Amino acid sequence: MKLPGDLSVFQLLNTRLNMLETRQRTVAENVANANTPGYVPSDVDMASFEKVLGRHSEPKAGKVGLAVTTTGHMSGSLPVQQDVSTRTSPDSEVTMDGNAVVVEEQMLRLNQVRTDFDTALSMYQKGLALIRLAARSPN
Amino acid sequence: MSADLYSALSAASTGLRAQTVRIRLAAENVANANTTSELPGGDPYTRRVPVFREYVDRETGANGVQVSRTVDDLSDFPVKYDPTHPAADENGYVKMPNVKSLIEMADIREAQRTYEANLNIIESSRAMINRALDLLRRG
Repeated sequence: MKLPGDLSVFQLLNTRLNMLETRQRTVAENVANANTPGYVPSDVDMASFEKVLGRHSEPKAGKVGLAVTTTGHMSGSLPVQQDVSTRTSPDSEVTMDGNAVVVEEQMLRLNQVRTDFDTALSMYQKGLALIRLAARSPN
Repeated sequence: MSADLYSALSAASTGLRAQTVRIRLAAENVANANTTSELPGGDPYTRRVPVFREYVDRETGANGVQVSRTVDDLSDFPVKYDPTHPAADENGYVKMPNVKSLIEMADIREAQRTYEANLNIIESSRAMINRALDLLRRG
């Protein structure tokens, strides 16, 4: 049996949680700079995130790894942490000083992130529960 | 794990700090709304405003905000005719501070709103960290 870290569902959830944390950071930065002249808010680049996700669901072909020639070698399979890239995404209104943060929209995004984060963690927990169910003795 | 969430906390705390400075300056302005010069014909109290600037915390990499400096409001002083006033010039006019309490109140309200938004971020980031740590407790 594979370890939980190698299961693709856990890997997917891990990527998603990482993305949501980055998104939470961008929201925090945007709100902190809600009154900074000329500040344009940023958000996670969803297009690039989809690419990162796609890489996970693909088979491992083409991935550069360490050659394993004898049994003593380790494959060095620690997953490379793929950074989620961010890009600027102005909100619906730009004030006269060039600030493009609308606090209400950021609050909305904040709640979205939190809900998504809770959902992903619940699924993670569910996955662990399934493994435990499979590992438990039948009686 | 949640380096981004801690960055979010630190960005939000810089926001809190900046808005506090802004409220303090507004309070100083309101307190000195009637402070005239002690010398005849002299300049009265000048309204002061904060200048916000984006600022990168090198420790966490979070883009927070900083009050880079405070500047004087360069708008004209309103004059009042009061020959008996010690600060009156030879024509009997007294220069009053360029503080408008209505504007200060609006400014305080806006600062308060942004402060609350930053508090929301802290609360939600903390809840997300706790939710992730709950995995350790309950699995």
